[in-house]
Amino acid sequence: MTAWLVRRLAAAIAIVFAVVTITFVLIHLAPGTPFAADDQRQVDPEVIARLRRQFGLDQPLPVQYVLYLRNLLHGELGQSFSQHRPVAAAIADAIPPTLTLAGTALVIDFALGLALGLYQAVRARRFGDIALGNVALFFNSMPTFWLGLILLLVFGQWLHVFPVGGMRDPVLCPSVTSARCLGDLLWHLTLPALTLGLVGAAATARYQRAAMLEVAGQDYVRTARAKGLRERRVLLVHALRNALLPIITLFGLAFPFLLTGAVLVERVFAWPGMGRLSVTAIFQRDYPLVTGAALVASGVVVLGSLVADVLYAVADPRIRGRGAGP
Amino acid sequence: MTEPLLRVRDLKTYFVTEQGSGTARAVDGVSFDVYPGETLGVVGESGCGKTVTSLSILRLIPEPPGHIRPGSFIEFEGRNLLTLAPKELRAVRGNRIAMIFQEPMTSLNPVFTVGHQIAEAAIVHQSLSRRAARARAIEMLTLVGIPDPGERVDHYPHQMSGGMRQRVMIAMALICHPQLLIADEPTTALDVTIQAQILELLDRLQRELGMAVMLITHDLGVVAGSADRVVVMYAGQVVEQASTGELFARPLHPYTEGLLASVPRLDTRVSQVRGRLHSIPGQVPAATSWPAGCRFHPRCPYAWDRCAVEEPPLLDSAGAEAGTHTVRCWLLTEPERRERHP
Ligand SMILES: Nc1ncnc2c1ncn2[C@@H]1O[C@H](COP(=O)(O)OP(=O)(O)OP(=O)(O)O)[C@@H](O)[C@H]1O
Ligand code: SF4
Ligand SMILES: [Mg+2]
Repeated sequence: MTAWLVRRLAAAIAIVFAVVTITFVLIHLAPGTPFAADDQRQVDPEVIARLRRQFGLDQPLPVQYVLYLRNLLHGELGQSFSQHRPVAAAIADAIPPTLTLAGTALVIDFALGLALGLYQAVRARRFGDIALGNVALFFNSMPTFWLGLILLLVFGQWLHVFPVGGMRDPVLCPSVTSARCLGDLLWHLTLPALTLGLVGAAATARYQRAAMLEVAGQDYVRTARAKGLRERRVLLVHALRNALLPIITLFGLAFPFLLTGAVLVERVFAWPGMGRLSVTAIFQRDYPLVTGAALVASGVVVLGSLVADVLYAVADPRIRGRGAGP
Repeated sequence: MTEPLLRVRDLKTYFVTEQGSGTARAVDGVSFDVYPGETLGVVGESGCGKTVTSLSILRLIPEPPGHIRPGSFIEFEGRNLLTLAPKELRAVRGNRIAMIFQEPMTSLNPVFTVGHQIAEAAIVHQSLSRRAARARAIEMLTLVGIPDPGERVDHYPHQMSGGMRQRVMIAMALICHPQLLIADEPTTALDVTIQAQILELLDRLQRELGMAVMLITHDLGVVAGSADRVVVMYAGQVVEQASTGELFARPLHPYTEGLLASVPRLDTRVSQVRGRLHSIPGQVPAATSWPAGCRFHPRCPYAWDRCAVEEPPLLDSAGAEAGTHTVRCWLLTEPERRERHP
């Protein structure tokens, strides 16, 4: 198990390194530069040249890359061009909102997805299953930002039940300090979290239904029934324990889904998180901020899949016993 | 004679197949009895309905696609199992009637220890505490001959060989001392040497616990060695039923004759009788389209016009007491045809 864990960690670091490298190269090769005159501003070419020198942009790309990596080894993510502060500070501010949004969406995703999938499996091929299956398919085939826009339009714009964007009321609750402000946060959170959560839950429900039906036909489920166990126990103990194994893998896959989803949903709902930060940084060619955000995001995804694999190994005695991961 | 423990009458279990190829009449009017303490052998080729029959007894047929037809009747200890309420049915399953399955590799739950799985029935049916049930599970592992039971009780199925798993299945089935054990080809998936050990184990446990065993098998050698009476099945029906001695000495149904002819020598010791039921010419028909008339007629060397149109009922053998040797074949009404045949 330990050797396996070390191998997995090494692979994780390699993946993050690869993502950082690719992002670094791509964003530098993208057309446009961070310091340029545009329609509104006339900037002295002297100033631009000085800024480029100051941030090392006048160096050849390989040199910049090596310098970036050297700083990274010292825990330095560099200075954000557009925010005029360290990249680490900008990211640190954006992480809690994204964590709040993605975490809530994750709970909705799995709580709702597992419950619905289980219900569908038990009522397989009957009305409830078929109806829910179609609803799930609808949500599943809908792009997250599109669902977000619809919810925004209906519940924010027309019905005025939820706010049309932002994370908190800037006047009443500049930061969460009281129960009322927590309520305000939840009120702002509902639509974006539902957008992400519902799309995720639709996929999770389909997996869970399939996993449950697959397991329900297994010989050991029949053995459990032949023992005289209650149907509840047969399904919720003997079948479900096995059906949850593939769902753990899905849990690992939820991280990349939630992060990419967050990018779009945060933009739709003006949610001040990592997704919005990254998009803005890309548009402004804020190289260090883009690369830093990619580093954090890939780190989270890789960590998520590592956690899923460890959970899998713990949950499945066949893997636990062998002492090796999948 | 004593009252039967289990009385199956006119059991019909059909499956509605999805591709619209019609209804599979997997078990189609099967009747037989099991007496207390005896071993009833059930033999027949693959697909003749042995497993479906045994699953029907405990109502374990997956529904859909399967269903047991109204009019079927399965009486156990004076009650019709087919009309029992779920709660009463659960009190029979694993407690009064237990079952072991063809596939020891897949019949145990991979995520629970064998001890947990063995103890479960005792917790449910005898309200034992977890500790007491665990102790019982260790006792059962000892009884079925698993070495180091105190340690094995905490092992998972994947840590055991096929033979060991089948012993675990037997331990699981017998923990509540059932009156009837249904063993559906308990040795088919195992090595030959392990097969013999498992059969000996079943024999010994049956004597010690005094239960009846319904032993389903492909293997006539197994029947000859263990069964008191035999039911021969073909195409979802019982075609012949007799005591083991009578059946081997005077097989009357052409199908049974064929089965026995495929066994090397009948008068040799049981251990040498290891024939498999594969040497009857022709194919078993599909359960969705049984042949009209006698279902065996396309493969029967004696068949004549009547066999293709009229379905024979179960007839009593002339030489035996009524009901002790029954055969589903028109030859019993026209025995001279058998003599005329080369
Ligand atoms: N779940 C099912 N769905 C559809 N048809 C089924 C199902 N289970 C059994 N059958 C039908 O019932 C017939 C009899 O099957 P059964 O398993 O009882 O045979 P068997 O005598 O036990 O054979 P074997 O020796 O191979 O175990 C099969 O040919 C098949 O057509
Ligand atoms: S009834 Fe006819 S076809 Fe059927 S087994 Fe007897 S002789 Fe053969
Ligand atoms: Mg079978």
